[in-house]
Amino acid sequence: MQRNRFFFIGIAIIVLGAAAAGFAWVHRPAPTEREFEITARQFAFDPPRITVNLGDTVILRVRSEDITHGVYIDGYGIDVKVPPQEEAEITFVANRPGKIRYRCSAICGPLHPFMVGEIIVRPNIPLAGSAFLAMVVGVVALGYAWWRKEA
Amino acid sequence: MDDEAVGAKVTRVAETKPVKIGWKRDLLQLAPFLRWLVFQRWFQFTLIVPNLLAFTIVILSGIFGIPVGAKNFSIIFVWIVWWALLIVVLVPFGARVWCAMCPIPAFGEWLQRKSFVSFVSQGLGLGKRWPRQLRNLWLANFGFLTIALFSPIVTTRPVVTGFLLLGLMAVAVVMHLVFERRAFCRYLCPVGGFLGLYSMAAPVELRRIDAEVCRQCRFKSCYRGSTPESLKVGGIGGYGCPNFEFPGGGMERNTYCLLCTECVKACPYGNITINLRPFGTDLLVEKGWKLDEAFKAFIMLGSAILYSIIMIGPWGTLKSWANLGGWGFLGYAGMFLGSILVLAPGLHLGMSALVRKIAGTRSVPLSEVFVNTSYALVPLGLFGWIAFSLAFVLPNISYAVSVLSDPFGWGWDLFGTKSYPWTPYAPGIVPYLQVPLLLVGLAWSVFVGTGILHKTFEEAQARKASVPLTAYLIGGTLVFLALYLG
Repeated sequence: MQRNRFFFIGIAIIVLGAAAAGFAWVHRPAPTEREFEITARQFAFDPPRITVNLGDTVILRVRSEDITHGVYIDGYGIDVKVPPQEEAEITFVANRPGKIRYRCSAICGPLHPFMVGEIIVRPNIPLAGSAFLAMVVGVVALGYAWWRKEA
Repeated sequence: MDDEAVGAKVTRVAETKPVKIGWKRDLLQLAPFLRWLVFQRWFQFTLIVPNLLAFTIVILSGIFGIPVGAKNFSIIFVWIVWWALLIVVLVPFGARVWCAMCPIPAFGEWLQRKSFVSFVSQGLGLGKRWPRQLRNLWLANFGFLTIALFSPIVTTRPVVTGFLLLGLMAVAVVMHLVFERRAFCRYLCPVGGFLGLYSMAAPVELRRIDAEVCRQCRFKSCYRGSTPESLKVGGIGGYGCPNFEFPGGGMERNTYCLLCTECVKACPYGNITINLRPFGTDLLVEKGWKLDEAFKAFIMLGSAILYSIIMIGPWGTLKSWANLGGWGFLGYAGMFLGSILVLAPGLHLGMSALVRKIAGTRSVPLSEVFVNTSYALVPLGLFGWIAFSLAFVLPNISYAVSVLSDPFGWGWDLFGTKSYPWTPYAPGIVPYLQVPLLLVGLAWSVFVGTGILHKTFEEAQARKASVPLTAYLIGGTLVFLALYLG
């Protein structure tokens, strides 16, 4: 009896989650062009995080304030070097939802490997989906552990 | 039972097919070559030598090489290659096998034994006993926290890495000459503590085969080392456990076993072996659950979360504070230590109080719930570390190819790979590797947590108590997910 109750609660959670995701997807904003001024200096990009919508054309104007830095965008194959006091322009279409990391690609000092910036592409389906999945996995693992103890 | 009878019994055990205890399999019977290897005195020495060579290059390149971390062997091979191997492969699958090949205590141990390979009963050094009050992980916890606090410096400055490893080797030598056995590894090594914690999750273990044989054994060579009398009965001559363990006395956890296999060599009855077993078997072994280990679990989980914020997060201010950035460093230190030593245990204490309240019993002390449930954090912590490590190992491991040809950054091109370009591996895919890892860690932690609660409370109480514990573990996973995907 209790197992059936858990089963129906689980199904209800999944249906509600799917409905919420569907609603967010249908009501997502229309793509547009978005420009950002980004400053690169040892060992950070400023602003550290920008937010765009799925399908937006993103233009990054990256200016280095100190030494040569680079901008490598994970998963987009873009790698641009930015000499000191100069500006580089990067244009791409944010066609994958979730977090995109970009990182310095020119060795710029001790913390160079940790010089990263973030672009959040909304709707952040990977985050919402994985958070939902974590809850499901946690509950299923607990149910399984209980079931095993009973068995 | 006399010695001969005990020996005959073990011979019977050894002659049978691989011993099956539950899901366990005797690896030394399944793999005769491994058995042969383990019974060679030179086995551990040959594991250590290549690592000692690599460490020598690490120390020399760290101190004398180019100060740019990405072009220096010490930084790339210690904090990326070695670290990745350790946390992704060696610990999850091989328990503390690294400790068997670690070069840091090697010189000290060789001096103490007056031997590189062979078994010598009379060693060198004062052989003092380690102070009773310090027979725990607190010093190792303190050492790890100190290094962790300065990790943005340690992991990016070759000279700091070089001197750190040299310093650890020097401390290990002194400790081997003053104290008995590998007191350094057991009580002081900052790495050993967390290796011990996470080795409980590994699918291998070194254990006795037949408890009755050990009960009847009058030599206790696995703890005391071989003696002329024990060698007349059997064994090839081995030292007593360097890490103060007593395998024949019922060692039930991997936590302090270095897998050096000295006990295997010392046992006159061949009654110690290495088993394959289900992952995480030790996590439900109550014997040994202690506050120092509980804090190790908080330190490890907390530092994985903090590193994910500070090192692979985008916040430059935090990085500059952590990079010894003036007064900001104090703010960073306060945040780091406060999160690990106050916030994490505080949250866990709150969860433990809730667990106890929902279980509806006062017969189990809060302190016991606090310590016991901390072991549920081990799988999540281990997988959290693997997930965090992927985020900086995959983008940066290609530096290893060029550094191999030019370890000091002096312009050498030993293997023709000096100009190999920086190539981030699996860019854009890392989060999709991290998510399943964290989910596996979560599911495993929930299983372990439920098992722990069943050992702590009565059946019905444990069931109720597992709900807040599961919610707490889901919360921890959501923090990681928010950092990696949000």
